[in-house]
Amino acid sequence: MKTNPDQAILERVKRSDTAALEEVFDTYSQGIYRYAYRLLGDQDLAKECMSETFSRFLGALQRNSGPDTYLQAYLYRIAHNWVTDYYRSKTPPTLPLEDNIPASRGSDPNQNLESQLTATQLRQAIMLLTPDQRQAIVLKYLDDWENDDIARTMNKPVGAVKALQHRGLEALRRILVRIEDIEL
Amino acid sequence: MTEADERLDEFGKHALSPLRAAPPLDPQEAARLKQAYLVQANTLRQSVSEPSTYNRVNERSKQRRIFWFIQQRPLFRFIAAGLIALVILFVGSTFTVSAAQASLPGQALYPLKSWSENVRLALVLSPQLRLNLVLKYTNRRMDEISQLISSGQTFDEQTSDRFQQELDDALQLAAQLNDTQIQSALIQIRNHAESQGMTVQQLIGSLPPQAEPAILRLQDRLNEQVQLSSIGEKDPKEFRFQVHERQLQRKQDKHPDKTYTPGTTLPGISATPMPGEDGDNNGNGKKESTQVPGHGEPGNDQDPSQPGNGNHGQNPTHTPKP
Repeated sequence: MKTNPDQAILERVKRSDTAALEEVFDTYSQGIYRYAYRLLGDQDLAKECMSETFSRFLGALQRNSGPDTYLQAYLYRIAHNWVTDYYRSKTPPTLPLEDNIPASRGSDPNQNLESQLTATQLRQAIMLLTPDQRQAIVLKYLDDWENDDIARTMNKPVGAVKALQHRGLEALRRILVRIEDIEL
Repeated sequence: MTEADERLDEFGKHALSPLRAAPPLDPQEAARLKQAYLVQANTLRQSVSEPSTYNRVNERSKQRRIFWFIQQRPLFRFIAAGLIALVILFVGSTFTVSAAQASLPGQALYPLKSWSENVRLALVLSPQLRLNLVLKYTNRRMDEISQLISSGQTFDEQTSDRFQQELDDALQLAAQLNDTQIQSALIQIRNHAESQGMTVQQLIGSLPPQAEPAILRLQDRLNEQVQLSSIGEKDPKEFRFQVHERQLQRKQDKHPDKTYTPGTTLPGISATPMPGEDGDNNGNGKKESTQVPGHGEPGNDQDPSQPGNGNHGQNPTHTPKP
């Protein structure tokens, strides 16, 4: 039987150990920020999502309803829900074509513009997936998670996660083909 | 993994690659967010040590449990629903009865007004308080009649009967009071009747023709009320006797086939013996016939226990009408 790697820190966290709470933040804050940014495409929103994730985590501890097993899965679930709620509650703002698109050193500006546009279109396409499909795909292809970890985060069997990824990718391909047709 | 799955997997990696790049969180911003998080964490540590937080949480969960209990138990749900229905009924009834107080005879809510007055009167036991209430009701009847006539309408026989019944009730209630109380009660009755008589006098000038007989009868009745009160102020015994006679007369008028004997309780009025008749005031513990001249003088062979048999001495004015 696989031991829970988060068991020790969770026990300390539940005792409101400041060092443990700080450790949790240091370990997961950057990853959650990146996860949020990839889905939201906006640094401010990503920061807000990350901050709110940890705030809800503390609130859950206060109500004695925090995580019992996998801390990482718990935190990503909160972040995912925040992003889903965000898109559900308001129409996502259309990202303007900025005048000063940051260019990587030595790269072609045209290529940067193209990749920026592609990222925006991709996010819009991803947001057309179901929340479960989106989470299963993003965690696997962008955050490089193993399906076991994704399954724990999503509270689903691994087989169900794979099915979600399969259906999600099929749907994404159809959406992107349609976008390309429109562009042409 | 099948070939198709592999191709799909490759597509996923390739298609999503533009999103892999994510700018790192600015270190200063990261430090600020961490600071805010630690402040909140510190608050959490303090609140964990404060039992009040838990009390509030426990209180909320207790409330949730109560509602859950009500929801789960059909009996409690039934009782809760019944209580809510009763409250709604009570509030609704109170509102309707209150609204009915402004109604006039012939209007939809008027029976409710009459009913509420009867209920209120039935709940009052003290004769003095009952008298006050009845006099208040006579004023209401007068106001109702005034309003009807002012708006060019007439009033029905029922309204007139109710008014006259209340005038009679006032006299009967006064007759139940002792000699000390009766004086002020009769002054009250007389003042009310005089005031109402003046209102009637004013109304007579603007009467619709069909209302004239009724209002004239009412005027006579109010004059009678003033006269009886005046008699009572001078001679309470005579007043009690006359009220008693009127009582019997009214009963006989309503039910001519029945013979009423004195001492019969009238509807709506308690059977409290009249102080002048129960023997307490005369000290001999024995009923006596009225001492008013011409009413059952000793030796006229009248049964003293039946002063209301229609034969009180030689005075024909006290003989009940057939």
